[in-house]
Amino acid sequence: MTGPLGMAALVAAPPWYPLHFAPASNLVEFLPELVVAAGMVAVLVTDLFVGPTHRRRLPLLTGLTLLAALLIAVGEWVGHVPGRPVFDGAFAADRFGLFADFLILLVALAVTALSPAYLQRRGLESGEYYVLLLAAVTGMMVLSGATSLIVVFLGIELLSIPLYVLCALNRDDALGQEAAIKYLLLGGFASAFLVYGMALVYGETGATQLGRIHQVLLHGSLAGRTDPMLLAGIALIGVGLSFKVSAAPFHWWTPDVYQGAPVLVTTFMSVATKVAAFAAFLRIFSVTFGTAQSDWAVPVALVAIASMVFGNVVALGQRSLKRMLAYSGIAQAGYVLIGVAVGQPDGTAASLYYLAAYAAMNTGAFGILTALSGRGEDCDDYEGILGLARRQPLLAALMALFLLSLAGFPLTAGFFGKLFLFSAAIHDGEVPLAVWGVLTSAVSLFYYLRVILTMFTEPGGAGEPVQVAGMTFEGGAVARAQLALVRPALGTRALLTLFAAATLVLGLFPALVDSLIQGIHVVAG
Amino acid sequence: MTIGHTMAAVGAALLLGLPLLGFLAISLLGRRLSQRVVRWLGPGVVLVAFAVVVVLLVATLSRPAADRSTTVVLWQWLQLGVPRWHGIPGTQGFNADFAVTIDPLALVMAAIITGVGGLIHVYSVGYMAQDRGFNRFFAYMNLFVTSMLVLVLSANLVFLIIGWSMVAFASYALIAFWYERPSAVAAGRKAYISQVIGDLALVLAAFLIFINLRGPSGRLLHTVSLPQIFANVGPGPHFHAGLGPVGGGVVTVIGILLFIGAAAKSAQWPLHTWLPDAMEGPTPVSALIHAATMVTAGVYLVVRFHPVFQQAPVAAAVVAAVGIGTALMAGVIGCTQYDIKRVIAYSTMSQIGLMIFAAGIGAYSAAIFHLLTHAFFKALLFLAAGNVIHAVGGEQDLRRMGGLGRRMRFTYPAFVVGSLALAGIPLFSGWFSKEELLGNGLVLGPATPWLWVIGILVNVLTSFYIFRVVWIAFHGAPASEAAGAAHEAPRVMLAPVLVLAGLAAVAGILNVAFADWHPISWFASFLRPVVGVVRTHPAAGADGLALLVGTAMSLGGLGLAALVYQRRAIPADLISRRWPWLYQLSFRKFYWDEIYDAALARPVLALAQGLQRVVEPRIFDGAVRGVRDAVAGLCQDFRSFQTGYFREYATVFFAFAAIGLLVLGLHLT
Repeated sequence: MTGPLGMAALVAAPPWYPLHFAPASNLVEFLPELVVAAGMVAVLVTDLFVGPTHRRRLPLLTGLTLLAALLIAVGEWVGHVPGRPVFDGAFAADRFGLFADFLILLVALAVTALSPAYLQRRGLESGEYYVLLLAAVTGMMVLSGATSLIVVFLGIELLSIPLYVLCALNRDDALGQEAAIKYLLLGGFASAFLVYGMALVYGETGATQLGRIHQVLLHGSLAGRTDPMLLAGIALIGVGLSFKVSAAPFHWWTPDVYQGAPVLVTTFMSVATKVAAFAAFLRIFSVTFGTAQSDWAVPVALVAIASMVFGNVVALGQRSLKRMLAYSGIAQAGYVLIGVAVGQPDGTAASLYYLAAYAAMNTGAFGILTALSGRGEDCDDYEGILGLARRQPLLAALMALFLLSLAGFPLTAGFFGKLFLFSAAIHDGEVPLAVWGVLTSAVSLFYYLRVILTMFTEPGGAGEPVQVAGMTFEGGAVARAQLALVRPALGTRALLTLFAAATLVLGLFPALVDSLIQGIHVVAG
Repeated sequence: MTIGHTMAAVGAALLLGLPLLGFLAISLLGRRLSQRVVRWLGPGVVLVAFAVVVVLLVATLSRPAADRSTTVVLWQWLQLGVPRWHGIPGTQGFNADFAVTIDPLALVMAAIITGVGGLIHVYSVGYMAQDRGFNRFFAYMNLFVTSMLVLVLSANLVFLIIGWSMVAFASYALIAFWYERPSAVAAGRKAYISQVIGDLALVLAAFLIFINLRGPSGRLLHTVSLPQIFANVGPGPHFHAGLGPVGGGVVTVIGILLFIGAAAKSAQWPLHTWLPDAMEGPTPVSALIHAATMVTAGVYLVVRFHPVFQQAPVAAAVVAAVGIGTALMAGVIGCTQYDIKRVIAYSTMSQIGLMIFAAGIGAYSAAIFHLLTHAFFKALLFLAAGNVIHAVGGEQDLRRMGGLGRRMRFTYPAFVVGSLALAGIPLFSGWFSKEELLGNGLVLGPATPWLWVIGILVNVLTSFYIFRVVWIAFHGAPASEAAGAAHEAPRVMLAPVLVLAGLAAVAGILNVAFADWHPISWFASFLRPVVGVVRTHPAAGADGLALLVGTAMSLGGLGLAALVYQRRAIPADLISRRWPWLYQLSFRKFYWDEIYDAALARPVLALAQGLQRVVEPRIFDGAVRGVRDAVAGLCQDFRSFQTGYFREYATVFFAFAAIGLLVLGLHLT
């Protein structure tokens, strides 16, 4: 039973044997995850045994690991046309998971490439950074292919715990410590909801594999019935996942953590985590719980609207670039949730396209802040980027492109991301979602364009305050903030230019990626 | 050599890419690029593009006539048809692919744009050599050529409109090129406003086509693909097929809207007033944009959309009437103007009126052929006038010239060749094209033969006003010091003029038809796959009559000019003394500027000021401020949730989850 974005047939579970071993050949399908995990161990061991002079090799090792995983993933993409469940339906070897893996690996590669220079400037060089990064990547890749509630939970924890630590990377920074502890506590809180929901779903369906849960909902005793326990379970899982994708009203951690964490970690966290969590969200809701869509579509749509409104409106009032991008990220999560609410197959495809666009533009925007961040602190104040266009025209132009794309300007990735989502919503009859999306996009223009305006405004002379879109810049603060910024190396600029190129390609030739997405089959497990 | 899809795609990509590359290189590198490089790069890209057109022309000619139109998708951009991306051009739904059509009509236009355009680029190297904005000028010129090519090659309404608007922008930038001059900026603005009116009409027409066009089975097509529109526009077996019955309301409105778009581009009444003012731009701009290419885009549009106009006879009649009316009006104005470029500008308006007239009556190939010869001789006249202006130190007033013929040994004969062609003197190119056009006017179209009679009158006026220029400027005694010290133009400016003079003299040969042996001319048979042939068997008697009368009128106008300005047998101020109102009407350009000023500009300005005083601060600003305050207030309210305390986050988190479950429970019970 496979069709475009349809589901593969369920593998028959062993009828009676209590202990069952999946054939070792299944490991082949798990190879990218294994490679990253092995790379993590290798980095850990290398870090223990080499001296500080050789520590510089660690990013190279990390990068090679990610690259190898990426190449294997590409090979597997070519291999799985319909996709199939492995490990008795606990994990899916399908293009849906691989597509998310591509985005995660590409972002991780970019972050690894930005790491050495940034960490050195901020004095945060350490081997465990790369270990934690690879551990988080492993967790994300596990999550994107997980088709069992247990594995979903495993993936979420495996990606979260390293991130908690990464947030606290700068041990001298009180804000970072606070962010990490908040993230840890709230993350545990959300995981509790998630596990509770999983327990309820297991209790009602008697299965942990998503495929079997789906079968039960489709043909079993629960078919066509609204079961309160099951709905409660779905709702709690939804709450847990909404936390991970930072959708309102479960987003409270996002601004504090994004601001407190080193901006490089924020770059990674804001994009890769969201891609992995949305992969799980889409698979669990749109596919596994697809038959109950009428029950959960409205709550998900409400969460989407709340995220779009809350994220975009609060972003207007921010004077910190990282917080502004955090609220923007909440709003972007709301847009992707439109695709979840619309469901299979159009909504899923539109969400995937948006995630690809988001990976390009948001990594780019945060990457610019990373590249500019100097010795003292992260590039976080509008003062620092005042007149950036004159000092660093290339970076200002790239930042403008990323922000325009986030706002959804035509010829950029964000335009097609939003267009596909809104048109999927309209085709599905969910017009209000599209209307809210368009209205909040209009609101978002203000805070995106404000950054661009700031970059393209000349700083005044000494002691002369400059007014830009409702913000006042004092000469002294401007000078201080600008001194803290650096001029990134050629390689960094080239990398950011690549992301800009990706943003443009997604906006100019949408068929390239959308045709890949149209060929994706989602395996339920 | 045949024109396959690959060749068409590569050719079109090169054709569009080369000038675009020139524009991007010159504008992005700006002053870092030396004038020496731009001098080669600017004209070079256009000339290479012309070579590509020639290759495509040869390839197209080697195909059988029925197989000379190729449509390829160069760039798949916006596809919302369902299912997406199966790569078939023109499938159902809003698929704004950048598709191009390589067919005889597009190739003729592309040849004019790159060929004549290339010559004008070469000329500009000399004309603009001393200008500070040399690089900027070539960037705009290359942008213009790119835009124009997008317009004529596009096989998709969306990209046609994009090209259409880009042309308007490039024209604006070039008219207002000398931005220190207030008059140039004002002229650019005026041109742009007229263009925007046309753009709006064109967008509305496109929208009406999009929402109304039905397939043969009566199903709505929702397509913006031009080949698909033209294939389906006619009535079909189903009652609602196409755009409804012939002469129906929808198709007539679409036709009129298309024509408003065409009229704005082609400076036809009532959107004509921008063209004379546009002469504020550098002279090569006048030659390229306001003679050879942009102003003829309206003719192209009507001819390209002829399947629509064939369904809308009323709209076609409006086109014909407005065209011939504009031709007459502009001809009358041209007789009394003293600015050499303005005389030629009114002449352009008048000649394009004739082309529009031809397109309105269905003589499509005649319209396009006149477009072609007009591109040659009008570009020639402008460039030669540019040489004159250059020679007399920027002077454009005819009354301060005189006797230039002796000092400008090459420019003078070239200008005369252009004038002979424009006047329609036998054997020059204009004669072939204009007489064919007027011959069709005698037997086709509404109100036959009265519109033809007006056309014949235009003939007299045309040869009169252009030879008036010849005699005043080039003969007699120098009327100013500058005219006395005039010198011939440099070689780089002479060469294009002489090439164009050659073309203006002999291009008519393309349209020779022989009554029995080959009754349809070569040019008409080339265009036949696109526009068809209106009359396969021309009525020899009517055509002969039209030819004789038309030629006699042209010669008569020439004679009249000779009598007035050379022999001085008739005093030049005869009309202004006898019928001063008639002279004033012509000299004041029928008062259209004053009428628009009084009827439109002033009331609108007064209204705007009133609105600004009363409505703007209270209602609009109030509303904007209200929205702003509301959003800002909302932002503050929302921010107050973000306290930074973990305990509050957890509480709110829990509360929302609980509310969700509660609502779910209520929903279930």
